[in-house]
Amino acid sequence: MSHECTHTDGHSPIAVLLRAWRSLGNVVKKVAVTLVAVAATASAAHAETLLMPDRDYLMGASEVVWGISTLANGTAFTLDYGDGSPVTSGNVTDRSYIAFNHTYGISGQFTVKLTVGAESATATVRVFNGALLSAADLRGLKINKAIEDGLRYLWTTQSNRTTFNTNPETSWDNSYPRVGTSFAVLAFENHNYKLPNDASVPTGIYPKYVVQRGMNYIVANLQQQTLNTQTAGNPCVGIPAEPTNCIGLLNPDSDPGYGTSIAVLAVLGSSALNRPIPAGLAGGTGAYVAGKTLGEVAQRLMNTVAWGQNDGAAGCVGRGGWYYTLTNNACTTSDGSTVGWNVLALLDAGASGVAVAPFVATEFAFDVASSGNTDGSFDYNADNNPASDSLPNLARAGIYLSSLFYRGVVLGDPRVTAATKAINDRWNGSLSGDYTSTCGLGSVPATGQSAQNKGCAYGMYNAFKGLKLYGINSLAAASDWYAEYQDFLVLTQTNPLTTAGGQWGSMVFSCCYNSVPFNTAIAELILAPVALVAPDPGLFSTVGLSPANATNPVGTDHTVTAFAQSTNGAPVPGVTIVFRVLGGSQNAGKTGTGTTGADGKTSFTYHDDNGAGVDTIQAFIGATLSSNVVTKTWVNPTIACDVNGDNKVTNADLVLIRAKSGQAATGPNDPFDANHDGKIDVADVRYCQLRLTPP
Amino acid sequence: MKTIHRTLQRLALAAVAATAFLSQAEAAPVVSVSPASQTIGVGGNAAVNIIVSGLSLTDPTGGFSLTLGFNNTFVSGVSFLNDPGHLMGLAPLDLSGGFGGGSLDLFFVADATATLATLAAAEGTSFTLATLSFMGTAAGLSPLTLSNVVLSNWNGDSTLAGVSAVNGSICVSVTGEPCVINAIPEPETMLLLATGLAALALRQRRRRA
Repeated sequence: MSHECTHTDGHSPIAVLLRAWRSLGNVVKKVAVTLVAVAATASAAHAETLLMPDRDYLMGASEVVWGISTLANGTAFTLDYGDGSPVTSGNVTDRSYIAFNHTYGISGQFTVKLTVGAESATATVRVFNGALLSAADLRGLKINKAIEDGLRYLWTTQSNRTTFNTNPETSWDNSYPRVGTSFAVLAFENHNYKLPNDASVPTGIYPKYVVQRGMNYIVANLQQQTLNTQTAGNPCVGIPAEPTNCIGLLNPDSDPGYGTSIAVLAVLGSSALNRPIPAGLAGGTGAYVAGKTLGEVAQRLMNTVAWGQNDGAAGCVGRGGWYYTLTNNACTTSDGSTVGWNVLALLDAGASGVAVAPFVATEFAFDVASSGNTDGSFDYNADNNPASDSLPNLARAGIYLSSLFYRGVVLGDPRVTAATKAINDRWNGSLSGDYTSTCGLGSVPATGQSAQNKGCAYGMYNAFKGLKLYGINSLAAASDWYAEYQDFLVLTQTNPLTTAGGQWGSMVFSCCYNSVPFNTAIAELILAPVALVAPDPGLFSTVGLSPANATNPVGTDHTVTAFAQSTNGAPVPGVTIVFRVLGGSQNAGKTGTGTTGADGKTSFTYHDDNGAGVDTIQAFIGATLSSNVVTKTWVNPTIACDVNGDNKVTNADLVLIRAKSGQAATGPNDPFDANHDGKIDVADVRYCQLRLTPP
Repeated sequence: MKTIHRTLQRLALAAVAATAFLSQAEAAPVVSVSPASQTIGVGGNAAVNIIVSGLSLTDPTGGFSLTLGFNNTFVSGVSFLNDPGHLMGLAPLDLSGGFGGGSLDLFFVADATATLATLAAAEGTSFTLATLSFMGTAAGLSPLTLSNVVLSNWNGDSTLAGVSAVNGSICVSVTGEPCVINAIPEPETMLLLATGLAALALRQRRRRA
């Protein structure tokens, strides 16, 4: 096995090096294509067998290897692990989850092959010997494994798993199924298991049978809402045929005030806004869903969010905020918890290029002022008093940060500083007077748990969002807060090495609701490299890194800039970018990490320590997105008097200088003005004569 | 009127003082044509030296360049030899353009091995930069005008400051009669001195009045 795990960023080192072969694996994997899963009406299809996505394992651990098949249970199968060990064979008992534990005794890259009947599929796995990995690489490997095992858990716990190829919809969670499904779909999307941005059939287990079917469930179970003009303005934008009193869509789960925005996150997270929704879906909303694009559905959802914003009636303390229910030309309490999800939807809309009625931002400014407090907390119920907290906690401090980011408040503003401090002060536990029931349900993990932070999915997620959006990497209480989150999640994942495990079962979602799929999806979202929507892979792979080429003297610095943008070109903030000087380069192994700002950009500067030569540099987002490769050429400093650029000083140079004798120098760096006195003359020739390169 | 008088008085004193200062300051290099004038017949040859004087022993020259203009109706260039005494080393770099039309382009750099010490010792305060030869082609006076005179310091870091030039001429005579030669004073110094003297004279006349 050869690997290049020399990262020092401490986040996801192996994710980067595995990216290349992973994406290759995704490309080369050949499967029988079927439309069954994406169509609303099942139709006859070719048999299909699929394996889990390419992934990485730890040598000596009993890891789960799995696949699926459209062939009936009882069909004979073989599972070849690719390492020369005995093949597992038998008859399929659960075609939606043909899963076995296997321990790789050797490291290396292997091809797993699942054959069911006459159909087979392969996946590439890379097995690492933990004893040979650096601590940072081993940590990265564990993070990758946690991600893959968590997504596998979500696969196993979907509602219609056993009918994955016949039922066009699937969901998670019975109490808040649209919310739970949105979280789950977004989790897959943010790990780059995405739908095509056209009508083509997705490939791979997750895009085809999770994301597509989950998205079908979400959009098919929305509800129509007529959106009339509000006090602050007309919420109907982006639907040209319906300039007023347009039809919006809302999430009819118990609390549409935030559920609608959570549905937005999943739809926009697809980055496939041109993708048509299969015909035949969605009874009541069919006219506004089936056959439409995901972009139109997202627009109607966002219009509903705008419509449901609290209006500015006289004495309205909650003006510009949101509540559990959506308000129609009315004002009610602005609920800080609800607002968090609405803000994320607004940020996603911005990053996806979806229109939002202009009054939303200006009205929301009232709520930010009303709910934000001097101490950095954000009111549970807006009170128009910055000196008075309303049930402060870490989660809402994160919401305050996200809200400020949405309002365009820059890092360094006292409000940003205060909100960051509010998170920092609660990092290891609640403060006196806090709302300590933030995650009051259920038992909590023994390791690292605090009432509001680690172990509290709602708290972690909002702190993660706020800090990531502002690119805040370090807190006084946590020098690398994100690494702490990653390590906590790796440590507290439940039975990731069992076929039924991989969830975050001991985490708690919030004060008032708890759901293992919720928590697992949230954990996956925190482990994802993006805070909002994932950038467009095509754009990132072509223009994601710049400058394309540069030449500089040896021993100086070089800066490259990554640009994360959505499919329609909108900048995507909050994306964790890992930069790497690729193997074979003069400065191979140098690496760095950055988070994109409001402009979608982040930069990496490194120093040339190895003299003249060429570096190739690439940027990565998680394990699956990679940028274009850019080149840096380090050259020895220009030799004084080498006016002909042949890397030596000879009489030829003297003659050339002499030919310009009498002329003024073109500038301070005119090579012909060797003595830099502003004029080219016999002194320059003499100067250079004394610097002739020895023969 | 009183103010004008005071101004003129100050100007006069300053001019005289400046002239005195210039004459007392360390001599700046002077590149001159030698002899300043000579008479030859048509078909006759004139040897001309380009001489630098006023060099400092701590700041010798490591190279020079100049243009010598002449009237090629009366004389034609025959030959030139830079650093005839090999004072600037045995392997100098001669990038002279030579004769062309009515001018001679000289561009000469000392031996790369020459050091400040060797150059200072060899050059002293004055030496011959080049020896030229002209032939008379028609009767008339040909000025020998120096321009673009640049003296490098020993290592090319800079040029020698304050270099001035003294021109010369060649008279080509058929009858043996001398050509009329115009003296060419150093303009700046003379102008300054004249201004000062004029101001003093004016002051005296006004005082008398």
